[in-house]
Formats: sequence, C-alpha cells, structure tokens
Amino acid sequence: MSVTDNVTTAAYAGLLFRIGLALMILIFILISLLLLFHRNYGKNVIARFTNNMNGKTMDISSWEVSIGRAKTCDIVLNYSTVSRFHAVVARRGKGWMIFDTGSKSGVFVNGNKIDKYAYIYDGDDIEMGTASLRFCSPLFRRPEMTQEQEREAPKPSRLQRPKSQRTRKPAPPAKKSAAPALNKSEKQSAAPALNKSEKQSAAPMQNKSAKQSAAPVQNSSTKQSAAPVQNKSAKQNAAHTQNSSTKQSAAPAQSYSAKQSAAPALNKSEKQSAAPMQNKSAKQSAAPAQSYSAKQSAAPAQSYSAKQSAAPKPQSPRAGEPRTESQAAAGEQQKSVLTRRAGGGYISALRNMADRALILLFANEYVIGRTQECGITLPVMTVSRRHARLAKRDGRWTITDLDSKGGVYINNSKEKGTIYLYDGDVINIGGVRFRYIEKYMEE
Amino acid sequence: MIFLAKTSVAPSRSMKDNRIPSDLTVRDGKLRERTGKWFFLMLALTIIELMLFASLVPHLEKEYLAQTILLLIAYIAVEWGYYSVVGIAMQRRMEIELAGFMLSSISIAITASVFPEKLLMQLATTVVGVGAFAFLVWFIGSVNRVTYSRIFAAVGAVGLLGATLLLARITNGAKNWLAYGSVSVQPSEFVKIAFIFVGAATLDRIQNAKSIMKYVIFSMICVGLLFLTFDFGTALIFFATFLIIAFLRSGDIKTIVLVCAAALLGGIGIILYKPYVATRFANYRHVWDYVDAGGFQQTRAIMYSLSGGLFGVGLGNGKLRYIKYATEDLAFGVVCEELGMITAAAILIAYVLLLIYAIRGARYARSSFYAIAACSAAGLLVFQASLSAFGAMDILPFTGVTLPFISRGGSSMISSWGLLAFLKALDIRTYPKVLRELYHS
Repeated sequence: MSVTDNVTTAAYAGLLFRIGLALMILIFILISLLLLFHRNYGKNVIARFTNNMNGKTMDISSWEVSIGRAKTCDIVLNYSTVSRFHAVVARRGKGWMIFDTGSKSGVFVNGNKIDKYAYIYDGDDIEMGTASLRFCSPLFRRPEMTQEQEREAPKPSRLQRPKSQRTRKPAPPAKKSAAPALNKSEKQSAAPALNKSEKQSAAPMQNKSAKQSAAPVQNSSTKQSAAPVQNKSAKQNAAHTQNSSTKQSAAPAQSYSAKQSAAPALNKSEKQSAAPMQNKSAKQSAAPAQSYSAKQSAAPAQSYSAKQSAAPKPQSPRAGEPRTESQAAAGEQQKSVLTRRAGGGYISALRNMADRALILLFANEYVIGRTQECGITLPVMTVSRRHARLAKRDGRWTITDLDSKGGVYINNSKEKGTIYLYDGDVINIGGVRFRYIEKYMEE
Repeated sequence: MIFLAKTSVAPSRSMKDNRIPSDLTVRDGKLRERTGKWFFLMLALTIIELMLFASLVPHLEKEYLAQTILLLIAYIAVEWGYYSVVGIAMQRRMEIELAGFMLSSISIAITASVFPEKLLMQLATTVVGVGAFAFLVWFIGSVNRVTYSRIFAAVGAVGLLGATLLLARITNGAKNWLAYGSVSVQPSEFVKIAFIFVGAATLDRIQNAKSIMKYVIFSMICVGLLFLTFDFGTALIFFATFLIIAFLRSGDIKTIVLVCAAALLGGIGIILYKPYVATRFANYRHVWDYVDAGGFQQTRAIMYSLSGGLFGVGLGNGKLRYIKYATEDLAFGVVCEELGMITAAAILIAYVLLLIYAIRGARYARSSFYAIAACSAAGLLVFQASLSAFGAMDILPFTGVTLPFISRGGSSMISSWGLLAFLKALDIRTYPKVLRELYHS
C-alpha cells in the first residue's frame, strides 16, 4: 500500500513538474516574442517632395522611396517622359541620396545630370523627364551653409531660461481676495473692453503694434521671480507698462500654481488681490494705454518701469531672451538657427504631462486641435477644433492661439498672439498640459 | 519601398504620428530604452532552465554528472553575461535573444541528457552562434557596408557549396557533411546566411531590372549544387527561400507562379530520369508499409511522440532517443515525447511569431534590404521547421533537415543564430544611433 502511495505521489509530483515546465516554456516564448509587436511608431515625416508643376506636396516617411511611372512606385509621376522605375531617393549615411535606376531620360539635380547616384539637400530641384520636384528636408542643407550656421550656432545653454527668469519654488497660493467675483467680472467685462479699446485706440504703443501684427509678441510667464529682469528694459517705455515688467512687478503677488484650469482664474484673482486698488485705478485711468496683460497693478508697475528704464541694457546673451519680435529685432545677440551638423542639433518636443508621451516637432508647422486633420490631435471636448498653431519662426518654435474657446495658457497665463516657446514652458490647451522641451543632442 | 510596404507617401495634411514610442524616453538628452522587463524575463528563463536541468540530472551517469552540471551552469552564466552587456550596458532590447536562448536551452538540455559527452561541443557552438549573431547584427547595421560586401558573400556562397560538392564526392557522396575527426561541419548551413545576404537588396538595386536576372542565376547555381550533393531537403529550403526573396524583390506574384511551374516541370523531369531521387520519396504516406525499413524513423517518431502526451514523459525517460540520428533529424519527435506536445507547439509558434513580426516590421524597415532579409530569414526558419517537424511525422516527405536551434548540430545552431540576426536588424531600435538620426531628420 505504502509503496503504491509513494509511487503515486511521486508520479503526481512528476506530472505537476512537467505540466509546469511545459506551460512555463510556452508562456515565456509567447511573452518574449509578443513584446516584439509592442511598437507604436507612427509614420514620421522626415522629408517632403513638392511637385513644382502643381504644387502638391508628398510627405516622405520611409527611408527609401521609389519614383516612377509604375503604379507600384511610392511616388507615381504619370508623365510619359518618366520611366516606369525612374529613380530611388534614399536616406543613406549622413544624408539623402538619389539613385538613377535605369531611367531613359536621366535624373537632373539642380540642372546637372547625375551619374548613377548623387547626394541631395534641402531645396534641391530634381528633374525627371518633364517632371520637376523640389526636395525639402530641413536638417540637410547644402554643406556650404553649414559652416556659417555652425559658427553662429548658439551654445546649448541658451536653451535654458535666463537665470533671473527661472522659476523659484512656487509661492503658496494666496487666499482668494474678498472680491473675487468682482475681479472676475471685472476681468471678463474689462478684458474685452480693454482689448477692443486697445484696438480702437490710436495710441500706438510699440508693444501693442507688435502684438496686433502677426509677429510673435512677448508675454512673459508668471514664473518670473520678483527680481528685476534686465532684458525687459530693452524695450520699456517709461510711461507705459505693457509687458513683462508689468507682470513682474506683480510677481510677488503672483503664484505659480500647479492647478491648470483653476490656475488662470486663480492667478488673475491673486494678481488682483495683491493690488486691487491699483488695478482698478489702473484700469480706469490708463484704459486706452493698457494692454490685455496689464490687468495687474499698473501704478507700481509704472514706478517699476521707471526704475527699469534707468537700468543698463543687458550685455551677456544669457540674460536676455527675447519674447517679442521687436526685442529680437532690436538686436539681441543670438540667432536661433538649427545646426545641420549631422546627428547634432536641437530637438524640440512636447511632452504630454499626463501620460509622458513625447511628441517630437519636425516640420515647420503644427495645428493643435480636436479634429483629425490637425497635426496634433487632442480628442478632448475642451479643445477647440482648431485650437492653436505651433510654428517655427527664425528657428524658434512659437505658439499662436487660433481664437479658441478655451484659450492657450503658457505657464499658467493665458496668452493671445504668438509666443516664443522656451525649454520648460508648460502649455495648457483645454486642460491637456504639455511641457515644451528643447534639448541639444549630440551625436 | 517594396511590395509589402506601400504606405510611405501619405497626404501631406496630417503629421499626427510624429512621436517616439512610449517605451523610449528622452533622458540626459539621449533616447533611452526602458529596460526593466528584461531582468524579469532573464529570471524566468533561468528558472525554466534550472527546472530543465534538474529534471535531467537524475538520469545522468555518474561519470558525467559533475562535468554536466558545470557546463549547464556555464551556459546560464553565458546568458547572464550577454544580458549584462547588451541588456544593461548597451541598453538594447532583447526579445529575439531571449527566444533564441530559450530554444537553445531546450537543445542543450536534450544533448546533456542523451549525449553528455557531446555537451561541451554543443555549448561551444551555441556560444559561437551568439557571437556570430552579435557580429552580424553589427555588420549589417550600416547599409553601405552591406552594399559593398554582397559580392563577396555571393562568391563565398558558391565557392563553399562547390567545395562541399567536390569533397563530398571524394569522401562520402551521400551526405552534405564535411567531417574532420569528431567535428562535422555542414557548410550549406552557413551558405543560408550568405544566400539571404545576397538576395536582400536595397531599393535602388531592386528597381534595376538587370539585378534580378543576376540573382536568379546565382540562386539556380546554389540550388543546383545542393541538388547534386543529394541534399534534397536543403535544396528545397533554398528554393523556397529563393521564391520568398524573388517575390519580395519583384512584388509580383505572377513571376513566382511562373517560377513554380518551371520548377515543378524540372522536378518531374528529374524524378523520371533519376530513380534514386524517387526512392527517397517512396515511403511518403506509406511509412507503415515499411515499418522496419524505409519508414523506420518516421514510424518510431510518430509512436513515441504521441506517447508523450501534452506534457511529455520527462527529460530522460524517452525511448526515441535511442534511434540513430534522433537528436538531429527527429528532434521534434524527441521534444514531443520527453517535453510534451505543448513545448513542441511552443517551438513552432516561436517561428511563426517571428515570421509575423518580420512581415509586420517590413513596413517600418529602414531599407528594403532589412525587410527582405528579415522576411526571408523568418520564412526559411518556418519552412525548415515545418519540413523537419512534419517530415518526422510523415505529414511531409522525410528530408532529414534539422530543426533550427533544437537539433543537435553545430552548424545548424550557428546558422540559426545567424538568421536571427537578420530579424533583429529589422528593428530600428537595435541601432539607437540611427534612431537618433531618424528623429533629428
């Protein structure tokens, strides 16, 4: 009896062991190979062809593209002078190349017939038969230009917000003042009135005109510390406080609150609470001259700006980061151009702070919105159909509010117009928060 | 690109997919992998291997016990060494290597159990295979390097097959082996890698009408040489791979149908004129009529594999192992019997998953070279595994080809790892430098 018992238990143990082993092998193979399928790449657009004859653009997202008359080609050119398999454009090594794959009429790059293969760069015109295409790939410019750009290229440190503008630990949110309703209604009623009056007023402020135009207009972030910022002095008018200094003067009262949707209202109310009397008086007295952003105390701001105007102009490049085009045009030192050095360059991205997904920004323009045709789609009801536009100006990324319902918040302040983006800025669109990242990546 | 990847041109309105995958992060200004999961998988792998080895140790003869345990532990150390270099230091993905290690462990366990004296050889060839894998992954990473070396691969392949034919004629005449002492090499296994290397090409070469002719001639020479050495199984494998590559290069199914028809006619002609070839296939579907003669291996394989059931009789308890060449030609049967049908199914599923991965991944490949190489390597693995497994069970004619990874055999193990390299090179995440360039441009 006991012998059979032992045998049976041993047999059962052996069976269990074998069952476990077989199942573990199966599951292991399934898991390790199914991990291979976990890839959520999209089709990244890495170059673009523009048909010079009808203006159509064709985005390229693979590293090898076949061009010809045959229907199986990636780019079909339906001209009888184009061979069935005319050419192949491929990304090789450090750049793009075009290969002539047995075409009858040959391939001409910028007018020169190529012999089997040639390198192509951004802006080159490629002629095949009677078809003419222009090749666009922003980071692959002709070598001659690179040298200049490399010399002028700013050092990586320029990407950081200047020290004086860097965020300190955010102050605890101030208690709402006794008259938040008043402030809000004031803001709501006053703001459109202000805006309209701005537009109507004939007093052309340097900043206002800059703002009315499509040019990027500075609106400094509320992250600025209370310390005086020298760069603003570059364009301050003594009398009229329009921009960042205005905000900076109210900075002690401002808080960098982490809450998104409540933040703007809270910020405004905080600003209001800091100097309510001054606000009202400012609004009443200086209405035609106030910009949208000057809901804050104007009186102390005026005094502040007076101090500002006496301050010396900034000398070091780091201290001054231009926010408005006028500032940039006023001769701030750095030209922000992307270097073409192979592999090395600035990479710009938006990181969705909720799920930490990274959206890399390659091309020159993105529209952010709710619909599918937007470059960056946010399928959230609080986002308008066409909410904002990310565009590259002078090599720097800017964001523009496209008359959206919810508005665009940069670093918790609602901005209209076109704003330059800097590394670390937090963009809030309809409750979706992104952090703008700009990094210098070596090869 | 090629037939499989037709979506490279999209309307220019939407660029919504311009983002990096969520299993990468930008850290310290560089794109980095998230590598925690490999550790747990390595741990699971080690546990499975320890269980495998524990189950075979009780059946070992005393004289081999110490040596076997040492070698098995050495194998686990090699795996962890690879993981620490590639998974930790270089921060690369390791799915394919893990699958390869798993399959190799099964082979090593079976070898340790059946031929403990040959375990060292098997282990050595596995390590050489992993080294060849790593070398190939590095080598084909650069498209330029690949373009320049394809001609050498072609010359090498034909030369190797020709040398095998000459030497086989002189020595043995029947098998496709070159034996020197205790080491036997099957050169056709290495030629598989070269064959795919030559066949896969970048798009500029594919679009050239002349190059397909050159490739067809090269393939026909290879298949012909293999045919002359009477290794019909390998010749069939090469022919199937040629079909896959030709289809991927031309994108045209009609060409393939024509080629198949021509091959069928040629095959019939050969069988009519060379009766020896026909006798090899005389047993097909008649194995039970020749139970102790021509159908010996297949009938035993069928009987013993079924006796294993779903979970096997246990490593070391099987009887199929006592048949000659069981661990080479009937490896699938041995696995079925001793480790169970679930394990055997897992092995076949592994190859199928690799094929599916190759087909899906071809869409995103950097160059048509990688897409074609991966698809044909995976196709070759699936075809060879089917031929080996189903041939042993008399579902297909018995051809004596080895089961990739599982069969005992140095050349087979090395070439299997080499084919895995093509699969790994398909994934652009294997080359972070290139990936960075991609996102810069």
